[in-house]
Amino acid sequence: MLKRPFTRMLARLDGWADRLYGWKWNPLYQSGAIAVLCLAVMLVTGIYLLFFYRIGAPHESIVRIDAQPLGGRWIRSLHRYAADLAVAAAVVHALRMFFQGRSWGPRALAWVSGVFLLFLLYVCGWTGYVMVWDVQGQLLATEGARLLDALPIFSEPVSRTFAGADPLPSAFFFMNLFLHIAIPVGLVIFLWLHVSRVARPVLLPPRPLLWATVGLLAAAAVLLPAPVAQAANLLRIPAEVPLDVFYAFWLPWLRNTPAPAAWLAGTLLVAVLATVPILARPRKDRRPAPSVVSTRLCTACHQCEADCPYDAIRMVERTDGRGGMVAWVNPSHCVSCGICAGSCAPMGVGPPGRTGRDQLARVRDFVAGDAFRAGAIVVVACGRSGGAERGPSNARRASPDSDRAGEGPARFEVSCAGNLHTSVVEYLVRAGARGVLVVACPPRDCSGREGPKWLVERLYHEREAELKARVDRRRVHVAHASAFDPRSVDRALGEFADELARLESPAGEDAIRIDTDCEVPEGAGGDDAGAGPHGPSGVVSRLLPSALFRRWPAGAGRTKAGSE
Amino acid sequence: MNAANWLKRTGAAALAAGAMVVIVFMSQVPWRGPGSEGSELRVSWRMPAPSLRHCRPPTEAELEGVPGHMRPAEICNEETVPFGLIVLIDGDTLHAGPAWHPGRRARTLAVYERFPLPAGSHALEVSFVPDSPRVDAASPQMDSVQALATTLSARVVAAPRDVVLVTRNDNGRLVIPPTGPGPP
Repeated sequence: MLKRPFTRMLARLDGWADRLYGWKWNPLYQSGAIAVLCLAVMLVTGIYLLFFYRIGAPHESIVRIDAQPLGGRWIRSLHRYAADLAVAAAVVHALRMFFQGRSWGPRALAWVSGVFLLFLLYVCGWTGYVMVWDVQGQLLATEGARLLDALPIFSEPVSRTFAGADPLPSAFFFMNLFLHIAIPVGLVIFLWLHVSRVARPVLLPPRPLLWATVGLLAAAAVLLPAPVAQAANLLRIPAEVPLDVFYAFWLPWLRNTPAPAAWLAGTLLVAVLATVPILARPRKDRRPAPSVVSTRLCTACHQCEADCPYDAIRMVERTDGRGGMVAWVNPSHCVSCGICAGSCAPMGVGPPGRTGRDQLARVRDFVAGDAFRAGAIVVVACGRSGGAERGPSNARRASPDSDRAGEGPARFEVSCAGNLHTSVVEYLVRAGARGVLVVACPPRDCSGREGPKWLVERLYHEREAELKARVDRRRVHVAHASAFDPRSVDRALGEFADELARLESPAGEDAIRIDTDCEVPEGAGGDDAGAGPHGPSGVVSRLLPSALFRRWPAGAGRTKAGSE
Repeated sequence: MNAANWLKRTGAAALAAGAMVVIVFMSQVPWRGPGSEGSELRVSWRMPAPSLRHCRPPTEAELEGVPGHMRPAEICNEETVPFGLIVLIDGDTLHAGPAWHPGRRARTLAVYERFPLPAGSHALEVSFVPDSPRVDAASPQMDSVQALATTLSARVVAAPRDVVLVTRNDNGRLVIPPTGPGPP
């Protein structure tokens, strides 16, 4: 019920941040990587602080660190602010994943391990504040002990340790320090688990954003260093506590809540978070189907395996008697992003209804329909991007010589820019489109992780399945825009229209045949012919047995950079 | 760089700096806890658990199959004696219940309770006595158990945010140790 407005709000925030920072440096897209960066900052500063921390006199040692002339105070503040930013970034990251519907199915492991990561981060922060042993640490320790005493597992009350009758033993601070150091090891293990289902995980933000974040944290630590609060005194009730909202937001609430109620609330929260993958998944009939492989068309070129952002595809031995390898999609890892469909030159893999062949069938109908006008620009848009149905605005003319000023360009939507097969772009250009503007999501915000990246590689850098050399690249342009950033699309459309105005009018072709090129040649072994449509190009040529090449029809073969 | 770009970059930097300032502020929000004008009564100590030992000669059935050199002269059961804590402030009962009881065979008995206490002068009475309904009063060992019972009656003056701690000294008497002035 609330998901849609929140999703829209999030998309609008993305749009504003895109306008301010540009999609390359938008920190909202990098929230997960910023959280990891903060962990790295905490690790480095924590090692420094460890040299000066004394478990026999915790608060005094913190005061001494604070008084160091060579920046002990700043390093301590940097450690603390990085811990705070890590929580903020992790929460933003989790909210984005939830509202973008990226928390169920094959992503459930990432979600659940992410919840554990956040929990461990909290426990680590808790022990960190108790280590300081100021008034906030005192409250965290006593309230934590009160919670533990509600569990029937201790032979005597843990709270008695903090009664104030005796000085706190060093063993308590030693255990605390041990936990504060050991928990990050658990963080690393869960981080590995968190990204274990994705190929090429991005753990750090791009370098400019990385240094800007570290610079901001350092500037805050120098200009607004965190003061050391009063030392804990177990025989005094703290008057005023400087509360770190990121780690102790629950303290005011917990102080007035019976421990069993607090446990119940905590357990409910954890249960809800842990069951998000079940609660958030769509109804069975609405769940996108995983990709399927046409064993007849698969040439075992490995490209879909290389491009899959979720490591859901691997090559297995053929069982149909043809010998060699064939792609196999693991349905429990496949998120149905469709990126494999864009990577397959013979159009033999992809989610049902979204394979290259399905896209060609759709584009054929599109060209035959009313929406397409020869000599006009076509916007091919990812359904989640700013180029989808809600944008771009109709303010720009679709074609410089169009007499129908004010009309928007025709739109052809795909589920993801990475799903788009380059044959669709070729078809549109050959059918007489003045140009094709592909609008993709910002690369770091792609729902399928790597769609825009592979799209650009396929259109401009000869990545399999590349746009054919016979297509005039001046008529193809890629723009990135988030869902609520139609201005970027309008601007890209305007600039593209101006560039196209300098070109001659395109000559449309009739009876364009692309998918039939991909068919297995007659007499080449029937179902056994696993040859690609365009001959032994690129990766295909390196991986297929040379005997197979001879089965391709003469003239069909070409090299990566060559043409037919 | 044109003016629009300059404005955009300034805005971006200002927003990032503003977000950082918000994080710094949220990192140290002053919070005045509830009851910070009152004080607290804390009752806490730990002692060896008083126990009663019941012995009897073994039955024939229990000795059956046990080799002669392993036959016990008597079979004993040891049971911790439950103690109760009663706290009265100005004659009103603040608490009357069993002390923390970890189990029948526990070797230690711990007491830990916290009570909010209005600042000011109060007549305090704390009693630590065997939980009589559950104790075999006829047992000859009860005398030593009864000797552990203790009561503290005192007038305490609690300043705001003070903790009045009642604990047990080495002689087994309940005392209020001097706390000395804490930090303001």
